[in-house]
Amino acid sequence: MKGIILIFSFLIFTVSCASIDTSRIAPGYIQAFKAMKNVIVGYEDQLITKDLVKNIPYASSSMKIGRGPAGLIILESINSDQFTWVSADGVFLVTRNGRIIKTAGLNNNLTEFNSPFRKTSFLNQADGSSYSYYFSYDVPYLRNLEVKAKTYKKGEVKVELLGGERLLTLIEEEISNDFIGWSAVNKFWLDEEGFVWKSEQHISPKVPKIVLEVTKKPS
Amino acid sequence: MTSIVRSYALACFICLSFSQASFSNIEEYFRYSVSPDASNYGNTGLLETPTARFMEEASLRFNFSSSFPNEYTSLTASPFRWLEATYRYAEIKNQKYGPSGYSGNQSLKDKGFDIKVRLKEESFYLPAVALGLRDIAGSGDFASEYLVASKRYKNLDMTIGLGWGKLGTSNSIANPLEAIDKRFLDRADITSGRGGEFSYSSWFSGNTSIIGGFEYYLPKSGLKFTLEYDTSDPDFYEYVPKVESRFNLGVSYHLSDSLNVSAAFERGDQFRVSFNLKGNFLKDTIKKPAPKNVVRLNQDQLKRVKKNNQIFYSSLNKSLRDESIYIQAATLSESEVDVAIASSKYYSLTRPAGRTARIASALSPDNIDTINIHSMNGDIEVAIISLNRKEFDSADDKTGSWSELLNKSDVFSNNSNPLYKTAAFQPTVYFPEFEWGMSPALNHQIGGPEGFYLGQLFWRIDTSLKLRRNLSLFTSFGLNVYDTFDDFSNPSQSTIPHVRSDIQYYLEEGKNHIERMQLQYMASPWEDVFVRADLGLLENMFAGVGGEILYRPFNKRVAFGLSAHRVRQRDYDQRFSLRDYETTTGHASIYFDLPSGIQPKIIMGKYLAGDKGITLDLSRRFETGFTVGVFASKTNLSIEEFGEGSFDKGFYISVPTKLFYGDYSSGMISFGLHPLTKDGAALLRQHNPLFGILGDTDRASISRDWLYLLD
Repeated sequence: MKGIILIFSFLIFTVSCASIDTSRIAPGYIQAFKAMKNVIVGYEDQLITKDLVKNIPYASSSMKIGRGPAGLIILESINSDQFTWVSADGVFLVTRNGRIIKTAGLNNNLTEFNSPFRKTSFLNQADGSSYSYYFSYDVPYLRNLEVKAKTYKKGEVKVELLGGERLLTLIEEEISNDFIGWSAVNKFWLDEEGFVWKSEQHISPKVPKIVLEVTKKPS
Repeated sequence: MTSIVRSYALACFICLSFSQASFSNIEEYFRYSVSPDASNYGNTGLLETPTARFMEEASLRFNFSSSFPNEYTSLTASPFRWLEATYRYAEIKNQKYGPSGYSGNQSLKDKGFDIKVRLKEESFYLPAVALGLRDIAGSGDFASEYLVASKRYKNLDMTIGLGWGKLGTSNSIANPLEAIDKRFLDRADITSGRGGEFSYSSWFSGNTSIIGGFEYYLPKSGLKFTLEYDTSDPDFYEYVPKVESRFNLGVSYHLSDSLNVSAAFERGDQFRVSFNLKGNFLKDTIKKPAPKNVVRLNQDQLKRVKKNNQIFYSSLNKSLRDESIYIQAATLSESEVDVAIASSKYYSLTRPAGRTARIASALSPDNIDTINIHSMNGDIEVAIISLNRKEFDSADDKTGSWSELLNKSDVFSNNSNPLYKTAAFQPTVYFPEFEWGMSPALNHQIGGPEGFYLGQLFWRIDTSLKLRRNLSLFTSFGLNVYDTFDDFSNPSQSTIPHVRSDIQYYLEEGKNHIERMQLQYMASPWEDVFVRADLGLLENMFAGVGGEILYRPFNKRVAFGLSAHRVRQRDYDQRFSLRDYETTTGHASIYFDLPSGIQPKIIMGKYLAGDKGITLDLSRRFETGFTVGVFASKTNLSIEEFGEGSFDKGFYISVPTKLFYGDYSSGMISFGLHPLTKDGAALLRQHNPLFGILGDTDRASISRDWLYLLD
């Protein structure tokens, strides 16, 4: 939306005439010599490639939030069935059975996730079954937002992953809270062992869709 | 005893219940952020009625509201959380601008400026209270004053207050201010005046009415319903037909936090449609790329670096280039490393300094304990940030804090002796260095009798030829693509030298023009003293020679400037020929940088038309760089000599482009507006004013942006 404002600003106010002038505003004059081109040592490549993933000795996934660029997250620790992932810019995700249950480092974080499936995976539920989750957030603070959910098994689909194409089962989960008018569809792609290789998840009305794709499976 | 325990338990329960309610805020999670929005006139309100609600601090709102006969186009800014200012054009569609020989079929346009101040915040029991003035210093067609109170209960927001002027013409109650002074009994007629004067004597006087209304929010669906009692009594205002009903109804739909559309049924027979765009620039909400990961050198590499410093310099250069930071000089000594850098990518000075320190630390041998970053702009070294390497590394890996780092760092300036003159490593620079850029651009002439909007789309080409250090030739050309300037037919009637008011000739005859062709020298001869010399075609209307000197004590929040130019007026075609008028213009300036980003500026001297006087400029710069400012000038010209508007005044707004994108940039979207193009109090438009380059590089600015050092 800010892009629209930018366009408006440009159309309306890009100026240099007497009625509207910019002479009072510091122009931010900046000049820099662009000298030298020698290369000796430098940076790690930020592109997610097979080689990069192979060379990292940890399990990893790619994460994309909304329209932002995809970045690599590394498995930092495993605590029972909870996996903690961390990105280079300090975003932490905790997942259980492929579902995000806690975050840190986002503008709006999921601080607690209560589910009726403590011991079993929600992915094992019968097609069309309904249940409720309870989400809690930090800023703005909110405790136990009830989110109603329904799961549908969509069958097997071929999915292109970093390691190659895989035949995975797609499960869609419709979530909603009528009071605030929030609804979304989460998608999970899992293999025959129930491991979630790829997912599209909505964790808050204030956080855009998060796409996770496992690039190196935890051993 | 039992009853005491029960009471205590009940009290605890109530407290806990309320504390939970106050912490949990589900409203913030509604799909739509339905909130108080623009009135027809642009500032926050119902439809015709203002409220005591305000936009968030550092917001801008463009509002368009159309009906028959009145249509409003406005821009509202909130430089403080307690202040809203609106500039507005009103079109009165059933009235002519003037005789048809003068302005054709154009309808009447009226400029207006509003201001609203919050007197009291809303509390649990008491409402918010605000005082406002509408259409001040204008022709007075919509002049009103009001005192309003707003109180919200759940999704219902209620407003009630008193209105004077046009808001009070239904005269529903006696003016309570009559009890203080009888002069409030009658309101002077200000509509026949010259315009531009503040009609203090008529404020809050004459007919008075109770004003008010309701808003009901439906955040789940993004809707807002409005009902108001409209006392503006536009049948008193002769251009508007008779009022059929005093109740106005409206509905708004919030498409997003920034865009809102609305429709209203007013006065029993008028439909109105409106939309507004709003942006808040208090914080940069778009995530930017983090610093690139730096590979620390291994022991072998560090040994090689120690033996051959050139490896260090080359590595530094490469790694800095990856961050769009350009090394200007460097010295690796026994225990310190000095790096001079420049970058046109980052708006703040501390961010590239921090990224440079991170890279320098990763590449430096173990014996280095201090990293000195010399920030440069062009050939001027503006500041030095001296960092303790250990503290910086701790803060960078989050084991230390940025405030500890600030405490153990030194920030100073040594601008008269820049590093690039003495450094062990000085990159070879080949002169002349040529840079260019081009983009589409617009020229506007708004509110003239020939047409409300006359404009030009042109292609602008900017070049810079750096001949040697400190000396550059700047040019700017405009090539016409499309324009509507042939309709101009309103030559200036000004009785003083036409230094600005011949704008129509400049626009019409200079469709393909040279805006600037100027040789410029810039240097810092002494500590905290900066100079600039200009020669050539300095701006669209003037050519000449002159310069500026600025004294900016690095550790103070004040700076002093002097500028003087001998100029001659350029011909209307804006090529190389000159007109006869020439003059000497010059000013002394004082710049203040007060806490909270408030930046007053005082300019005194001789203006382009030969008039002498003073310009006061007051702006607020937010941490993001978003700036809102107003200015007013008074010179020794009489009101008659100055003409319509009585004295020069206007406003300006500047928004950093980084607030719109997912990457850093140093660009700005800026605009300033003089409601009238007049010859009095006209300043020469100087390219690269020194305070513009150096005002944001002193100790206070670096401390303000210190957090970005680790970002």
